[in-house]
Amino acid sequence: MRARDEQEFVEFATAAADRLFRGAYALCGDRQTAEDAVQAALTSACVSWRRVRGADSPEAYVRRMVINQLLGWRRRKSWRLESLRGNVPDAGRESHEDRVADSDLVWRALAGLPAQQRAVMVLRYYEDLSEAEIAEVLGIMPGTVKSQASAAMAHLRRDLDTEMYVRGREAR
Amino acid sequence: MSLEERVAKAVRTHTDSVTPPPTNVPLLLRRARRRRRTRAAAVICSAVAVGAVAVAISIQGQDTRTDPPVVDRP
Repeated sequence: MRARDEQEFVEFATAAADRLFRGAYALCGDRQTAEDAVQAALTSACVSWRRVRGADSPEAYVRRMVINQLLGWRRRKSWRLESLRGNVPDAGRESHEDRVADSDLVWRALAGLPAQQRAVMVLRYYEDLSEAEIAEVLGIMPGTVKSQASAAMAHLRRDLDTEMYVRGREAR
Repeated sequence: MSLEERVAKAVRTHTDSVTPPPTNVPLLLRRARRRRRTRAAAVICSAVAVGAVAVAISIQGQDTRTDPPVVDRP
């Protein structure tokens, strides 16, 4: 790698690392795993920097590497985010706390989704990507994106309804 | 609020509240250099191995070549 390429990579990594980390964290919900995935993807990007630099958007290219890394780890380890599940907020709080509690509730429900469904939800609603872009990033058909999003929504509705029901019973 | 909006809000709230770790770029560069060296060594080893197998096969081919029949002269 020439000094100029190296300098370019350093500038890219410094500028994009935070955004890549936040995206990875949204996808896996675990700080350490997100950090590892970003480090691994940036290392691979550095090894093949000329190819990455030649892409339409180097950041989108590396983001895809991060996502593939995370989905690959998930396939191998088949881990879920159990750590996020132990902290159920109390029912009957005030308005602001209710909003925070609702956000926690949805976040935990997201953690219970299968890896690809969660990836679709995060890319759609956090990264604001279109269905075609999500299909490209995940290497799946646009029809699969639609079906995964629909299944994820159904899963979330069911989980949230159950959680609200349990909380309602506990409050009584 | 729709479920889509709740999802967007939940993800945004949780990701915005997390502080990204500092990026250790020199470490990344060192790792990348090491990986490139390892790859180059692997390519050389593969080439040497393929060459050695080719030579072995050609030597074995020469060994098994049948000699022309010896004709007794009167």
